[in-house]
Order: sequence, then C-alpha cells, then structure tokens
Amino acid sequence: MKKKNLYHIVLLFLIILIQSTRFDFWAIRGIKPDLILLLIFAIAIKEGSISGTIFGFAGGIAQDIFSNGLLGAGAFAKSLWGYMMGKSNQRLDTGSMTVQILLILFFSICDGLLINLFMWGFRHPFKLQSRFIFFILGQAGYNCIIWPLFAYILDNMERRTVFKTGN
Amino acid sequence: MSQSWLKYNAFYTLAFFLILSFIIMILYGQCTGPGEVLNRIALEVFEPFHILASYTVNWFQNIWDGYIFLLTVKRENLKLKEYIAELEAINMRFLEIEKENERLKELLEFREKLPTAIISAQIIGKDATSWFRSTILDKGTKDGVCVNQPVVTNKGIVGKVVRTTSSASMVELITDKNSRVAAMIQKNRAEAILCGQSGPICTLEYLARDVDIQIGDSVISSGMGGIFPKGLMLGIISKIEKAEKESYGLFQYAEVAPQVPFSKLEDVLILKSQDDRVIPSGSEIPMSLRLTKGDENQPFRHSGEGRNP
Repeated sequence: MKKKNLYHIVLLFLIILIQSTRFDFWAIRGIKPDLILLLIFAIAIKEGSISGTIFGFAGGIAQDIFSNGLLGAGAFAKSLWGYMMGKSNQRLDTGSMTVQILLILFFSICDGLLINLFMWGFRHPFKLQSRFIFFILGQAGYNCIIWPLFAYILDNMERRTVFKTGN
Repeated sequence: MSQSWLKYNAFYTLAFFLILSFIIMILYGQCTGPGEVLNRIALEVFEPFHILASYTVNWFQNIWDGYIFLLTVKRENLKLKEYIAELEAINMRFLEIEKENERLKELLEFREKLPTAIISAQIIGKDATSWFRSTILDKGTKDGVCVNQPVVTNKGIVGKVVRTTSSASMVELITDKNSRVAAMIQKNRAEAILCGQSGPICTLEYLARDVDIQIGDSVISSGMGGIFPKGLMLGIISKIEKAEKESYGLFQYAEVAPQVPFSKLEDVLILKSQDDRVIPSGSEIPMSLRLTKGDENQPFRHSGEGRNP
C-alpha cells in the first residue's frame, strides 16, 4: 500500500513536470490536456475518494504553483473532483470506458468553470466570451480523447511496477 | 460500521482540504507572504528537473533539425539570403537615421540616453494549465531579476516578471488573461489598454471610438504603466469592431495579434529598470529595442548601441 502511494507520488511529480515543461508540442491552439486531472481520476476510481481528495489537493496546488492562476483555486477544485470521482465509483459502473469518458468530460468542464469562477471572485472579472468557452470545451474534449491512451499507459506501468512487487 | 467510518473519514478529509485550499486562496489573494514562499520553494525544487527536461528535448530537437529536417533547408537558405539583403538595406537606413538623430540631439542639447541593461534568459518551463499564459526563465534574483521587470525579444514585448526565486523566475505573458499593458496606436498615438485573453490574440480596450485605426496598424507600449518602456512593439491590429452593445458606444474594440511567436520562444531579454543602467562587466553589448517617434514604417530601431565594457 505504501509502495503504491509512493508510486502515485512519483507519477504525480512526473506529470507535473510534463505539464509544465516548455515543450508543449501537444498543445493545439494553446489548449493542452490536463494530465493532472486525468491522473487524479485514475487514482480516485482505483483507490477511492480519500486518495482522490489528497492527490487532488497535491496535484491542484502544484498546478497552481506552475501557473499564473490563483494559488489554491486548482487545489480546491481538484480536491473536490478527486472526492467526487472516488464517490462516483460506488454509484456508477466506472469500469466502462464510456462512463469514464463521460465523467472526465463532466469533471473537466466543472474544473474549468470553477477555477475561472474563483479568478472572477478573487482577482478581476472576466467576460464570458466565446473564446473562453472554447478553452473549457476544448480542454474537456482533449482530455476525453487522450484518456484511453493515458489509462492504457497507466495500467501497463502499474502492472509492471506496483503489482509485480506484490503491493 | 467500517463503511460508515470510511464515508465520514472521506468527507472530513475533503472538508479539511477544501478549507485549506480556501485559506491559501484568501492568503494569496490579499498578500504575497505565504503563497510566495510556497511558490519559491516549488520553483527551486523543480528548476533542475525543468532544465534537465529542457536539455533532453533540445537534444532530440537538434537531431531532428540537423538531420531529418534537412529537406527544407535549401529553400529556407534562399529565403534567408533574401531576408539578409533586405535587412542590410534597412540597417543602412537606420544608420543614417541614427546619425541624424545624434546631430539633432546635440543641437537641442539633449542628454543622450544610456541604454538599459539587459539580462538574457532561456525559457525552461511553461504554464501548467491551459487557462493562463506564463513561462519560467532560468534567471533569478542572483542574476539581477526583479518582479515587474519587462521581458522582451527583438519582436517586441513578451511580458513581465511576476515571481522570482534565486535562480528562476516566472513571466506573465502579454497574452495571459491577467495581463494589462498600457498601449498606444503607433500612427496616431491614441492610447488604450492591451488585455490578454489567454489565447493567441489580445484585445485593445478603452480605445476612444473616434480614433481612426486600420487593420495592420502597429500597437506599441505607451510607457504609462511604469513597467514597460515606451515604444516597444506589442502587436498588429487584426480585427476592429465598433460594437455599441459591448462598449456602450464610447469605445471601440480591436483585436491585436502579438508579433512575438510565443509558442516558439526560447530566449528572451529581461530589461533592467531605467535607474539600473550599470552593465555588468563581461556582458554583451545590449541592443536598444526602442522605437523612435516617426519610425512608423519600420517597427524597430536596432541601433546596436551600448557600451562595451
């Protein structure tokens, strides 16, 4: 169990590094997938809402640090989504890829809206422009597209590292 | 019993982290204390990893550019030769203008402005989200970088420094939605505010409705904000809209395409403040990126001036 947590911490560290590196060649018109949210989703549906909340907070705060956003906004949002993702495991068939993609779509849109809502409240008002909606929907769509590949890589890595050692 | 315990435990964990996040937000929103400390620590910790990642990808990119991408080199070479010839012609014109300018300055007994000292830096990281536009540079306070210093390239303004550590700093790009730059239209000196939208374009706000602007007009910094020096290139007007609904008839709205290729940016220059004119020994000759009034046709005056220590 401890080894698994350590593995998730290392994974989160790597994802943060990938997310904040200057080579964002996967960015399309400035939009890149939120790999941190995807990782939190993967952890939450496997480990439950407590792990989802803790890793959500850690991932969110890291994202806030490496961005020009409001420190704490991402942590708040991602803790909440981590918890809700973990809870959705009890009520929905999260083993189904369709359900997973729909959940990612929902949480990605909520994430974008909540973070920008905090920005609106704490810094200065933003106009809800079409470009802004394009960003939220664009990222949500990108997250959904990349999720099957991300889940596949994560599953394989996990099988080879954590389960192999019997933890 | 166990299920119920887990349920409440999960809820309390969530409540704890939500409250903690909210406290961080309040602290960070009101002052720069604890939030800044956290930022600095994280930037310091991640800096070597960012540099390592940067070097690794650079290495792969060099292989790609050096060997695989040679197919287009010949064509590019011809284009570059044409470009060099064009630049030489422009340079000749600039030299003439500079000489004329110096003569006029002497006549008017104007004090010759010393060039602003420059710190060159490399980009080692980018914003971790899609919502904001910022980059991480490999220079920090030990190199003389301070918060609010303007960051430029030869194409124009990149942004300003918003956070610093001893060896790294974060730059808010002009395209970031938090960014506001005092701007003016180069041809008629009409002032406005250039606002970032976290997209490829910026918007020009509070531009008086009666100001005559055309698509293709250059937008430069007005120097009013006190951060960016006057006359630096911001972008080109790409769209004009006199929408009464949005601006209540007083202002017109325009979109500005920044001239800095943000997605391909690797090296930048950080301008030290106007008072800090001492150029460290051993440094390269700084280039004055300032525009002079009347240079409407050519956005930059590469005077190449500076003092070689």
